[in-house]
Amino acid sequence: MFEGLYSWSAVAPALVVLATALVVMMTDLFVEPGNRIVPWLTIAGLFAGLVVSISMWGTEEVAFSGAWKIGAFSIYFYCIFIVAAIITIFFSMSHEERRGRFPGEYWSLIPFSVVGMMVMASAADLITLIIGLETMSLCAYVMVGLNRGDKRSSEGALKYFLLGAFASAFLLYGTAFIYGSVITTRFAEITVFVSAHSNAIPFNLQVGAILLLVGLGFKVAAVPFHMWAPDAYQAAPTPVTGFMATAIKAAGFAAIVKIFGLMLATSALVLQDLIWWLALLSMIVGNFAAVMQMNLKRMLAYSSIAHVGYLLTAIVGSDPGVSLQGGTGVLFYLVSYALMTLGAFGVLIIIGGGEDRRETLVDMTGLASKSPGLALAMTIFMVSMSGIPPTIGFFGKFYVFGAAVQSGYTGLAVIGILTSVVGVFYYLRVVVNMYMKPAEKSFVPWRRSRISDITLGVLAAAVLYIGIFPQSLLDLARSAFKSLF
Amino acid sequence: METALFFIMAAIAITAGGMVILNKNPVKSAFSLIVVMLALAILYMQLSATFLSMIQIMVYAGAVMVLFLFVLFILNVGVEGAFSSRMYKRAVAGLVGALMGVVLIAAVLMRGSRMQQLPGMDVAGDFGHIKPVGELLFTKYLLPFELLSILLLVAIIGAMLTTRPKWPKLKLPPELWPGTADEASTETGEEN
Repeated sequence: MFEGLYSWSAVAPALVVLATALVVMMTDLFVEPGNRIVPWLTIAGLFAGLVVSISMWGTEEVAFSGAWKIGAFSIYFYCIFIVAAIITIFFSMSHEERRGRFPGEYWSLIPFSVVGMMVMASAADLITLIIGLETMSLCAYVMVGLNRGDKRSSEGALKYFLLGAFASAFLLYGTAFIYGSVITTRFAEITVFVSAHSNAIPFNLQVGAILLLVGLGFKVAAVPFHMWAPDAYQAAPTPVTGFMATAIKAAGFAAIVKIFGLMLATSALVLQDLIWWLALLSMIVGNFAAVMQMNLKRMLAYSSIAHVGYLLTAIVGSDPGVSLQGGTGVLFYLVSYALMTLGAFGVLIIIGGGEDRRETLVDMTGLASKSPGLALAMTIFMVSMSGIPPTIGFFGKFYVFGAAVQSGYTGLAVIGILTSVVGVFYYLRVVVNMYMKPAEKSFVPWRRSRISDITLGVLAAAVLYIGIFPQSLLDLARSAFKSLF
Repeated sequence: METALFFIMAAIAITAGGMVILNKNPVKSAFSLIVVMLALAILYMQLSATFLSMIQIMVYAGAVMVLFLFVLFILNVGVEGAFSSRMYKRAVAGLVGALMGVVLIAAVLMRGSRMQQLPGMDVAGDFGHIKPVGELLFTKYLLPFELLSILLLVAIIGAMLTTRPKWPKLKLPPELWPGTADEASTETGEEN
């Protein structure tokens, strides 16, 4: 009866990160507020989690009577989450120097949310997945609301919380409907059921799948479920915004790939048309709304909505039985998006110091003459986001649109490419402001922080390096996606 | 008899549910919600989910609702004007709600005969008692059950962090309170 019930090895990476969160939480109580040992301890623990995860590459194990599956797919995502979290902590440390302290609990919330994401990446069961998602989201709601002096921030955080709770209700409702028609919440059993009944999908399952799509659409901010994103992104302290845009989005897509790219990837569901519309609207609304934004955090929020659209194009109609390209493209894109977005937010953290919030387009003018290194790094990230070679962003777009063309959605890919051209305009506008305009405001000198300088350098180098040699990351992404089935 | 009870309870639940959203006074809404919970508990009982039914009464109708009322009293929400009453907002909300309702009713009606063909529909004699529920929690659903403890811990930390009063109001050293962006940077900056 207890055979195969639990397995320590299958949850080892998540346990290491969980232990980190608990130790950090306790340590914070015993050291003086603001002591740097707390963030460094978090980094050490997360790094240990990364090492454990990487050492398990190649193993595959189903545990907890089918509720948990660790394999290359989960480990690929573990690495994205943990690396994004470590970079976020580095940025948070230099953000603290400029904008005042984070409360001590902040440092334990990051590993706690990583635990939630890891659960999402390796859940093989809808209930487990939703609990992981809730753990992650609760941490995110709290972290978004940390700027409590500011009314606008509280508004953004409350919006995020209410709409997030609403989205969770959709997810749970969808799960109930799926359980009602399949009598199971295990992914493997649902996949078997769907492929066995592909000519007569029960209506309840259709409804359940749509409700799941709505819920996850809210979580990753796909149009028309994106209302919260710009406000929440602007409300959150900038390192948290970077974390939300990368790790949390990646976790949402881990769930989307598993559910809609694999389990429910059948044209018998009306779902595929809905994903098509979500992708289309996200690309159009995200890109055109971003053009109008003067605040860079809002601009990046809308651009992240556009990137969700690009990612969804690879999932529409991707049938893993025919081609691996869709899922592989998504996994590759998530890494590329994480690297360049973290970098862009890192630059915003460095320039946005002092009393005023320097985060608008005007604040970037003349940055090149003031700080050429920073301007160069920002240029690399912006060029990569607009998808121009030789950067990682080019290959990301190349793979997702290639997958859409291969599965017969050429129209969607064409719209994607056209809207990316709009994207080029607002990304390069930042570069133009940095290089070709004299500084309108005199810069208040900011304190340089070696940690964030090094982090930015590494990110920029990675964006360029993988932009020239994408093959090894692509291979990793492919074997990760293959391990799902 | 059983069918009649079902329809009575369903009618009570739906009416009370309507009153939750239509009442202008939040306290009345909260009390209507208690009625919804109790009616649902009886419906669960009819499905022979006795354990769930008891938990529903104790946790939802009892503990959660008491908390709700506490919050309402502490916030001292006024009777009128607590909610926005713009017409177009109501129209949009009503439309979305109606659409959702149609889909859900359709889902129930179109359930058809497929449900009966599925395996796992036979229920054991002790279905809904504590023992099988506990057994499932500690075997098939062990992992989600354990993960819930992490979720609750995070919820506690989050609640504590967000409800912590802003530090200037309390005579505590500023570094004990969250560094809100602009105030904290000036205050703590001097101390460092």
